[in-house]
Amino acid sequence: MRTLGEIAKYVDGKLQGDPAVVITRIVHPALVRGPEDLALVLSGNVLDFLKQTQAANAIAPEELTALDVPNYILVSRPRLALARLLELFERPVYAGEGIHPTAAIDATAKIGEKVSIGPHCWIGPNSTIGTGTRLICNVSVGAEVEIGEKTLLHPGVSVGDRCKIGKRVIIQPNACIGGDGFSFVTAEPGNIEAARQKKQSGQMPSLNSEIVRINSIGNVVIEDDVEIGAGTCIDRGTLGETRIGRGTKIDNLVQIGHNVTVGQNCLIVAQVGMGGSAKVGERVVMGGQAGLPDHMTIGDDSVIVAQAGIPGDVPPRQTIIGSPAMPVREYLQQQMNFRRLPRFNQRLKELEAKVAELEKRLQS
Amino acid sequence: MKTLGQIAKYLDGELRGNADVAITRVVHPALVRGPEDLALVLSRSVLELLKQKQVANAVVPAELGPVDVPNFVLVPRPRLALARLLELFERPAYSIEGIHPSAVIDPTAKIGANTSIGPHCWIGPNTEIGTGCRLISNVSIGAEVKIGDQTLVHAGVFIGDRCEVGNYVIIQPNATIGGDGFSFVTPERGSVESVRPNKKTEVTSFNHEIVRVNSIGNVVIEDYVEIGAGTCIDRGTLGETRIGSGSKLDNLVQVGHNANIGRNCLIVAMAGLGGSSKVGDRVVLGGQAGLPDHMVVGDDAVIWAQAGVVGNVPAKQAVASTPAVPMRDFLEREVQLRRLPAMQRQLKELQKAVADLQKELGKG
Repeated sequence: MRTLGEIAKYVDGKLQGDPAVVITRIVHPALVRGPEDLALVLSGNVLDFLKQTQAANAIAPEELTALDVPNYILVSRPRLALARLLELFERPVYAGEGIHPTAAIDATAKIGEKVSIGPHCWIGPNSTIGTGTRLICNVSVGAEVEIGEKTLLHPGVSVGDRCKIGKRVIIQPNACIGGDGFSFVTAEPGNIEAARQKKQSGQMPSLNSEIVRINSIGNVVIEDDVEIGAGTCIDRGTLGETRIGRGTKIDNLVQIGHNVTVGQNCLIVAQVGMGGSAKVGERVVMGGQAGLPDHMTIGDDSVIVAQAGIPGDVPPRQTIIGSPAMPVREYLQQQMNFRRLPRFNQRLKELEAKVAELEKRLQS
Repeated sequence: MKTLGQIAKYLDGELRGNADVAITRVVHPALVRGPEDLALVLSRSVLELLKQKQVANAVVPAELGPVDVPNFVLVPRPRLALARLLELFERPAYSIEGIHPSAVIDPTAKIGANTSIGPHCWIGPNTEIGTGCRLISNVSIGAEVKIGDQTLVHAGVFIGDRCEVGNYVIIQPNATIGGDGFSFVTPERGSVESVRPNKKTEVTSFNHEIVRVNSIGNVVIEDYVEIGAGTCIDRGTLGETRIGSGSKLDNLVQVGHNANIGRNCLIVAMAGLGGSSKVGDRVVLGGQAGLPDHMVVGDDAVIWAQAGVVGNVPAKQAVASTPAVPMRDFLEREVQLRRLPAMQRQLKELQKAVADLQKELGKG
């Protein structure tokens, strides 16, 4: 519960109306039910709802200037205001206090103060868990793991031996940190090598008759303020580390191969795949389902559009799109050319007819 | 164990032969071992096996007509017959009776009659679970969750605080229902904003700071829905993420915050749905297809596997490819692309013909 005045101040907005009004809920304009609801307007196309639901309070982008609502707050960047609002109205995940009796904690593990460890968690030998960290339930932490302060591990998360997780990290349910890398070798040169060398297609020799495992003895390092989505898998390094830089946010079902390095403040959207030893710079954005092959590099601040398949290194500050991925301008040109093909074909036919006609006339 | 007569009746098929034969197994024709096996013929390609294996009983598509087998059942739609057969011969997931002593159930939770809660499950405060549900093992259910009757939750599933799951729902292992949405904002103009409006290649503003938008909404899963293994459905930011009744989601599907999926949809493995996307009723989304945030797909539309949708899809439209276009346009384009070498040859011949003409005219 907050007053409109408090909210306006917290989101750094301009209040028109009564600052003493008490707000208990933030809702979509269509879902307003009473005088304690604050309608969140992110764009002009929901304004009709404000009238329909007789909204008493609204928060809106400043370019809408005047609203027909008794009390409203105008803000310069509405999504930022939403973030601030949800700091005020956050409903934190339920976590029990202290250590649940069903949790199995190795006698050599060190658990900080005010740590919550929920039912059926397991903490292996010599692991350390920092102050104020919460493990909701069914979290498995291996041996010699280091987890910093105020980190939140949701149910079903697994953190493998020797991995390191920083402060204020959030890991969503069922994510897997520190599984073994997908690292194998054929005793003799294999099918992929043959295909690559000769750019061969079609009939392949059958060469992968023996597959030898390469063990992974490295770890995963997750720096401070990182967020990792549900079901996301980050494999441990073969020898060294797989590293996720400070402040980077990773969505659900992302695959990060062994020895990958992701820089700081990146945004990696759902179902992205990164091959082993790939290197992603700082503040890179990768759209959903994009694929980065092993050993490729993406420069700082680049934007990889959703579903892009990257065939080579990407320089800094580039936007690339398509599979194989290319700069946006080239891609748009290519799409236009595709669309022109039928017309192109038509013209070719017309030309053939004209030339045939000319040939005939010349002969006669 | 069922008699052939019972089976024929249940399948609504036409029995030729002995109705009293007892059937203990339904098998592929290649795996028939004895007179109590029922061979399932789905296509013509396996008819030869019937003789080789001396099959005594078979279910056969009506269009393949009578077969040389002592007892057989003719059915109009063989895969539907398979569905019915496997209702008769279902081997239900093993689940214990009652509540396992290792399960942790908050004293304020309400558990209905005949519900099975397996080892190491956790049920949070004020959560309500209906009658006849089965939670196999290691299932984590947060606070204030509501689950209907006769719902089956496989091992390792997570259902977050305040989510609602209907009746007769099946959730496959390790699915995550109600993780936080991937919702962040940069206080200043971000890198994507600098390239999106004018489709520029060069990024000119940078994601120096990323602010989290908390998710306080929930997920609502209606009756008769099935959710695949490892699939992730994020909670709404303020409101709900909803899966309509009868919809089936395959494994590793990503459903973003505030998405709304209609009734009786089929969403194939690894498809991704962005935040606030809206999918109508009876939509089919193929494997690895991607639907960006805020997109709308009309009723009965079909999105082909691996398609990348770039705009709203009208009702009853089939689209394919990335960027997704109507199926007919896609096939047309594929034909045109395959014609390219021929067009190039035509162009060369034309060039030569024109050069010849010019020479000829020059002579004259």
